[in-house]
Amino acid sequence: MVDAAFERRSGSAAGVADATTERRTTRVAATLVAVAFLAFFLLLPLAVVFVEAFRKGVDVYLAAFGEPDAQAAIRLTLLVAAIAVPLNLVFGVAASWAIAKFEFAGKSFLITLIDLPFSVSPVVSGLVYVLLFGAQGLLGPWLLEHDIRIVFAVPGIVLATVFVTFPFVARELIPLMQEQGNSDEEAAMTLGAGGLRAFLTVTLPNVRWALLYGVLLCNARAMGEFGAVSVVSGHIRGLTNTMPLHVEILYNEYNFVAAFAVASLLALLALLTLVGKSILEWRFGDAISGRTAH
Amino acid sequence: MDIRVAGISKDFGASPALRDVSLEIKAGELVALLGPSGSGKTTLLRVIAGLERPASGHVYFGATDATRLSVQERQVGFVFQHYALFKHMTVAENVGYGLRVRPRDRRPSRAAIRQRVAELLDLVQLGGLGGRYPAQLSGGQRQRVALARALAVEPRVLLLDEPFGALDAKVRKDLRRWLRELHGRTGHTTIFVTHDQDEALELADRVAILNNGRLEQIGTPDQVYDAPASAFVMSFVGDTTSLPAIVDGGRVRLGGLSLDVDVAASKDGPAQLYLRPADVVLTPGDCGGGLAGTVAGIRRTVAGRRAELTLDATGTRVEIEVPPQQALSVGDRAAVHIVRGTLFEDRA
Repeated sequence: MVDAAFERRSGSAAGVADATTERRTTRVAATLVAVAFLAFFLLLPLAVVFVEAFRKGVDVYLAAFGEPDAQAAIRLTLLVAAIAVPLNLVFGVAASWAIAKFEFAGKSFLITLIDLPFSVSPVVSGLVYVLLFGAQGLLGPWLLEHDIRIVFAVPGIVLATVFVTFPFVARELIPLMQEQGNSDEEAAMTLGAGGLRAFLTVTLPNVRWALLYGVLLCNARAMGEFGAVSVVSGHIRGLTNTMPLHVEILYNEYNFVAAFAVASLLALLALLTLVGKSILEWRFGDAISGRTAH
Repeated sequence: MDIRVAGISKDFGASPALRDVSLEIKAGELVALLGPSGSGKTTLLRVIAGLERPASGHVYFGATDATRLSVQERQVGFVFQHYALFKHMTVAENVGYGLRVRPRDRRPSRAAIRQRVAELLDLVQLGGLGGRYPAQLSGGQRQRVALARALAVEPRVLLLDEPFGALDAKVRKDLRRWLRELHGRTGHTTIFVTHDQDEALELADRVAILNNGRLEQIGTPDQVYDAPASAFVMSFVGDTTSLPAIVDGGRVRLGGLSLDVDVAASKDGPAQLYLRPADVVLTPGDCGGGLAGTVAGIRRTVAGRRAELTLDATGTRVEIEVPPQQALSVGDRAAVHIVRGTLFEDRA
């Protein structure tokens, strides 16, 4: 059965290739252009980050992380991600579940709304929170009265990050859950499982790899977000600086080695995310995109 | 468990899916819900299961009104069209699911569950395959896992949605016979949905025919085939040809001929005469008598051959069974003698 399926697939692939094959020179030229583009715009900058970070040796590189401000920035980034990612995990699962499994008024509006953070400039996302919670903002006076600080403090950074990373998990799950339909859940319910039980034993396992994938992307963005966080942070060293903000400050102070050292950590995170993403795609590509392995 | 459906109506948006459907199913019966797609047969099955709520009407399980009971409370065994097996669980875990999710006080011990799963897998002839995953099974095997899973909860009624729809012809036929035997052994009240008339006639004790959300007829396979209650049932169950005819003073007139067909139930006026391929006899040549026509096509069927005749009088085509050895080719002249026919009033 597996062999037959394989033959069919490779057979059709060969058929497609026959019909659409270009001349060899065209193929080589197209590949070269793509590789050159990639090398110039992606690989070169990445290499520069590491070269610059190690320009004055490993000791200086490591010293950049020994600095209290750098450590505070790393801690804050981890804290923000630790709050934002689980929040968006819960929100993403809830939203995609509602959207995929139920019919309700305003469904397409909700889908559009989830995409909002993708379409809005991060700076605007940050500004919204300043306008809402800042001293001159809508809720500012009330917050001041009760001595609650949101803007230019950690809560503001968390809020902005949550907003910006909103769509990642939901976007990953909605198409998959829609494709899978309701019959697995219905089967569980006819067998006597309650709604929560069906969700935990059937729905969640069905989307687990896509969920992990979404969380991975969400985490990468949460740690790397600059624009929105920059607006609400206030750039208070050691207090409200995340890693990306810290990189900018160091760079503006002509402290290139330290700037690139911290940047290399972010680049490393990006590379790790890519590796994780590739492994998931390679191993569970079918489960993520919803194609069942039948 | 007797199942009674009384006056069920259900709408999806503006289009009615079920209109005032009532039927009774006796304990241990095997009933087919037959109809074209969009006839409401699957909706009716889902209403009985509790997966859909009817707009009006009641569902009774025995003497109790089950209309307001949840799916879980109804304790039905439902086999979905594409089986809906849990992909991340083994076959044994799938079959045991319904027992594992029971509340603690009614949940069997682990050993008892394992025992029950093994019995069920033997029953569906999948003993030893408990450790496989659904993706490692063939379509027919998956179908049987789904059935074992549904039987595990000791359902009061077994509901199957297009149980053989996704299988190829050979497997389908084997499974059909096997399901009939299984039903004979376990005696579950069983309702299955199908659009395949052969399947319905061969498998079911009684067949309920739905069209446009209405129940057209429910009866034994013989009743629905031989005494169809409506033109729809006549044309949906079995092959039919219809000819425009006129009922006039107790006789049926068709292309200048007066036919000897039972017209007791028909009013005078235009009507449609429905013929099964076996209701007509074909005589080659222009020997007079019957309706003359020209052979327009001949097709091989599994059982014999089927000739298509264009009638001179009306220009309509009639399909007629002919024995394989009868010499006949396209363009030949032939005459049709109508042995039997069923009249329904002209709806147009």
